[in-house]
Amino acid sequence: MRIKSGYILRKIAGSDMVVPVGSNIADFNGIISLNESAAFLWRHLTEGVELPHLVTVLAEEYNISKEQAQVDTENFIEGLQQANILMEV
Amino acid sequence: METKNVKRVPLNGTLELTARCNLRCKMCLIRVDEKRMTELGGRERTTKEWIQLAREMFDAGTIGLLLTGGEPMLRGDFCQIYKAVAQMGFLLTLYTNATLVTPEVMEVLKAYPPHSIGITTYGASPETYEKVTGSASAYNKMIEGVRRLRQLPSKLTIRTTLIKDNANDLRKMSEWAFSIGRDVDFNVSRIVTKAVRGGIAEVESCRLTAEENVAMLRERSKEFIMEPFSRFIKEHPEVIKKEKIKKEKIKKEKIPTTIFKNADNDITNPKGQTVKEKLTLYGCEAGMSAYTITWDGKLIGCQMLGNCWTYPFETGFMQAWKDYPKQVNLQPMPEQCKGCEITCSACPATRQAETGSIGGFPEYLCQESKLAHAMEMKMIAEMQQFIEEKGRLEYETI
Ligand code: SF4
Ligand code: SF4
Repeated sequence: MRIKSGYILRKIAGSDMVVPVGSNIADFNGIISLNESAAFLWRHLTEGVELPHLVTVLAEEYNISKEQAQVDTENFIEGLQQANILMEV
Repeated sequence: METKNVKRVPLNGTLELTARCNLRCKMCLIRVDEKRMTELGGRERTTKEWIQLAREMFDAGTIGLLLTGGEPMLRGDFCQIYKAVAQMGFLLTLYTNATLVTPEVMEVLKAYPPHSIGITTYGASPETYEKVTGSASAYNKMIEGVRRLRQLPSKLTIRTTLIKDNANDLRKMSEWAFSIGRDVDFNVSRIVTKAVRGGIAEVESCRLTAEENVAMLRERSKEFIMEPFSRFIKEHPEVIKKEKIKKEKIKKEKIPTTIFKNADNDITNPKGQTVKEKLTLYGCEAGMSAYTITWDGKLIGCQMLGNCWTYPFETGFMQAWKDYPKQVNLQPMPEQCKGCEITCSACPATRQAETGSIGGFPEYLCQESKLAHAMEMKMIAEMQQFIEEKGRLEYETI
């Protein structure tokens, strides 16, 4: 899976924000602000990647257990899916 | 001037792509024609220049971007500039009079819809359009333009500015705006200042007098505040005793014009509360987090505020943004305003527009503000009386 095109991740005054452009604004018209680990996952998701890989890199990056990383990643992915931001590759 | 420790981030930018327009509104603050452009000695910037500058603004952290004019769609390269800028990743707003929404324009807007569109309208009939904009046919073009823009997923706001010639259309305009959809906003400007930065409109002869202006405000307040308020109180008498309205609570706080004092100090306000001192240049966001690039390539604080500038196309955007405060020459509050407690519609930019100086005394705005204040106070008194009468009634019935 990966992020659809037309979602632009930006650093504004130290915070990570995503601005949808193009027809994406029909799904979401506004700014998505991401915390640090969400932005980390987002960066990986801009290229095709599968869930197990995301869990591994998140656990490594933030030095947390695989179980915790699994829960966090699944929650984040679910949110993205609900907002229709992800696509299968 | 003390400038250290002050964080200024250029978050919100406006690109005034042109100050020309296909309409000739009597009260337009901005519009110039070719002749005036020559007199002013400026030139509109090229397609390439705007796109390059937008990229620099993006890199500098600008997130909110307004594309406006004049009428931006009047430029032959509007689609080209729009398409490039809209892909960059700004939260994009487009202002237009909606009379030039061609199929070509729609094609780029469909591919990259702005997050929000502000559509300025000038009346509810071809006759009113003729009087205000000089073009009767512009009315139907606008209606068709709005129909097209409505196909986009963008948030729409219908905007209007009231002058003598269209004030009577207000009700029809607002009914029409709301008939487009519940998600459409309707925004009315009733304070019209004289034209700025060489704009050619003769505003003084067409704007409402301060009295007319406030009379209209009174009518609208009656409809949108007083009537719903009395209905609510009648339907919910139980809230009466708890919710006594205090005059002091309603009075809005005046924003002081703090001039770049040192850093984020905690200060004690007149009520004895400790608050973070808000650092500003003009009492608002202009030049602190907001800026405008004018049609002839100057960086200014806001679209109304043409008293000082830097040159972003020459020095690069970031340098121009950094240098802006050095150009600012603040004036003391007008003598007449010292100690005035009224929530005033004047600000440095409107004082500049009215008097030619950011420290000038804006007669018209002062009159309007004082009348509006008196009207508000009267309305609050009426509300209080209403509550007290209802309260007594309730008490008597117990
Ligand atoms: S018009 Fe006045 S209040 Fe508004 S941004 Fe300009 S200076 Fe500030
Ligand atoms: S209402 Fe008049 S006196 Fe008071 S601040 Fe405004 S312009 Fe000055």
